[in-house]
Amino acid sequence: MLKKVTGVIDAHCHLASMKANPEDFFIGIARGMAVKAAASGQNISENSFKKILLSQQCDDYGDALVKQHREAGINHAVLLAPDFSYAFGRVAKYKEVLEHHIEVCKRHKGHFILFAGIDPRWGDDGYHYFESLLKRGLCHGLKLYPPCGYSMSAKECFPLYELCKKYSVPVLYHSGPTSPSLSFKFCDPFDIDDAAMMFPEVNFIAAHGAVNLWQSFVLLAKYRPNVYLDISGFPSSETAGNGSWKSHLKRVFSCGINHKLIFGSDWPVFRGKGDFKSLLNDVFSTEDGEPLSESESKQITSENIIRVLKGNSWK
Amino acid sequence: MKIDLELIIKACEGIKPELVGMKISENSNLISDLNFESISLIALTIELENITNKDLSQHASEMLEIKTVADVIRVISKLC
Repeated sequence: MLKKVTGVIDAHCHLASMKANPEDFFIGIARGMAVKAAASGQNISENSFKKILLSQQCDDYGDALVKQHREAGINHAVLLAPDFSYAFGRVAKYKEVLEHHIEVCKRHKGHFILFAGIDPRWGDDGYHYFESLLKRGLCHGLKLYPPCGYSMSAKECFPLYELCKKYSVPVLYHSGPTSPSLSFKFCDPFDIDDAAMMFPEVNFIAAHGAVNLWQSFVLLAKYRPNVYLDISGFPSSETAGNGSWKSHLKRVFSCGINHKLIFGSDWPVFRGKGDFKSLLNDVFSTEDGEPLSESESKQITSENIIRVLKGNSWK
Repeated sequence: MKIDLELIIKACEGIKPELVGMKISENSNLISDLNFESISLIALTIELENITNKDLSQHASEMLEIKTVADVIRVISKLC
């Protein structure tokens, strides 16, 4: 049961695996990297970046992820399985992807809390599949990815939100920029507002909300009771011009919304910033501003996500 | 091919020219001491591929464990 959970929960991580992420996703990232490298005089092709990025998707069963979590004392994590299958090819591979994630959860029993990705445009098929997972206790939240080409407040999403309401599970959705292979059209922070108003019983977590376009997200988290922000994607704060990510997080921590902030790593994306232990030290260090109180740290690292999950158990 | 500190320093400097003249030791951490980030870490891997003529993408798990210059020397020496 969730109430037995103690210690830090990583509320945002992914499998580093081609079973979870399509190649198209990395093509855009490689393109962006090649442009940036060229600007600093390095003539590295998009294909070279792509080859290395794809090779890094080598943790199909989450063993490396769990090992790193455990080394840092993280005993539980929300595992996100975004559905890219409608955006990349219109082939409904989401069931295959989710079955793989379920297998990973079984392999590391008790470690992962699965949030299932279902593109709302799969309609009834996605609806019934999502409900079957909820009924069987195989997932404990919905993961949506608006850059795949839909708004969080589009009516196609509402049946899925009805299920979230029925089963008391939250929705975690990607916010802000992503792979250039996808659309940035729906990254406006206020895109969630209609849905959040229409479904006040459903909690919405804006992934990376404390990092990208953060001032609007802070406002939403402050005044919209069912909107939460996760702090994953912190390295992006530097590219977004927010200064060093550590000082940026300290600024967010002083906004009076620590009861709405949720710790997440966005692993494996943050791999280039070190391991979990040093990450946690850096996030909650006393450098670059006032340290958080113990109770605020606990809220961010575990209590808030447990509250959002409303005490649901997972297997 | 001998993989030593001098060779790795040269590779690091090739990726990050601002490191030229800085003291780099085997204990230097690529991220916290030498300010490598995701793009430059991949660029370093590609540079090491060019130097060693090895396809390092076949050894991603080992490459992802690298933290320090000493780790680079150890992993690349093992693969060469």
